[in-house]
Amino acid sequence: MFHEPRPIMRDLNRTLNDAPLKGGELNAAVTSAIVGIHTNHLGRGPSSASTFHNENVVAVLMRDVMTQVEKTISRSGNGHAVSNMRHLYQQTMADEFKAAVERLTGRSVVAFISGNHVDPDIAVELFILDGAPGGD
Amino acid sequence: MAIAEQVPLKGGELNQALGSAVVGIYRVYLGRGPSSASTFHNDDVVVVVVRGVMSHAEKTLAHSGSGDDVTNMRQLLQQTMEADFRSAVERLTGRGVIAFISGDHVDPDIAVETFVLDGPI
Repeated sequence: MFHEPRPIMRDLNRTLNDAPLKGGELNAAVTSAIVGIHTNHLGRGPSSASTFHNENVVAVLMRDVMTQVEKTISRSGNGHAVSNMRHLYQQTMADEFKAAVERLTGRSVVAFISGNHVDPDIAVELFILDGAPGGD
Repeated sequence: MAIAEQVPLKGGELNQALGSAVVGIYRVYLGRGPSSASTFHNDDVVVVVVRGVMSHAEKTLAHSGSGDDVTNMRQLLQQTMEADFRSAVERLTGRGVIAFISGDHVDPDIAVETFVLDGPI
């Protein structure tokens, strides 16, 4: 039985009238949003995540994102299959990722680039914005 | 002995050296470099963003609706350059690269090379 992903509650109430987040506060909010979307869609979140931004680029790194099944497949020498599947997951979540980053930064995402590394288990979500976040 | 081996680079100087190294490797392998590149690092992560990387032929394919094929080909090219990328980043940062994650975006034409190091720079 499939369940509809739950809405992301954190930062849901932010509006355009709120003061724009900046610096570490923005990084923390982006991390929470991306991890929340991951958790909603995949049933578990990463063991750790961090975000940093520089000018118009936002980078989110997540560690230990693979499920037990993916780890088992990876150990059997099929890491490429796991990478491909994770790439599909990330494409599926792309719209929500972009919407969250646009809401939090007040900027449009002009490019979303996602990548994975199997061992060590790290995923990266990169967002290229149409300008630096308003608060910075 | 290179200057980078004598005095560790840091801050913007390191970013500039990393960007130059990655662009140089692009040029060697692909015959041309990106139109622009920017690099930044935070703790144990280095991000290099390059723009204008596609050849005329790749742009033609992308415009004809074969963007996925172009992305796949660029992934293969980036994998081919990976050893040189890692080597350059390790030499300049003095750290080991434990993960190299590369990605592409067709329109706008942007590629990103992300290096996760074995410790902060």
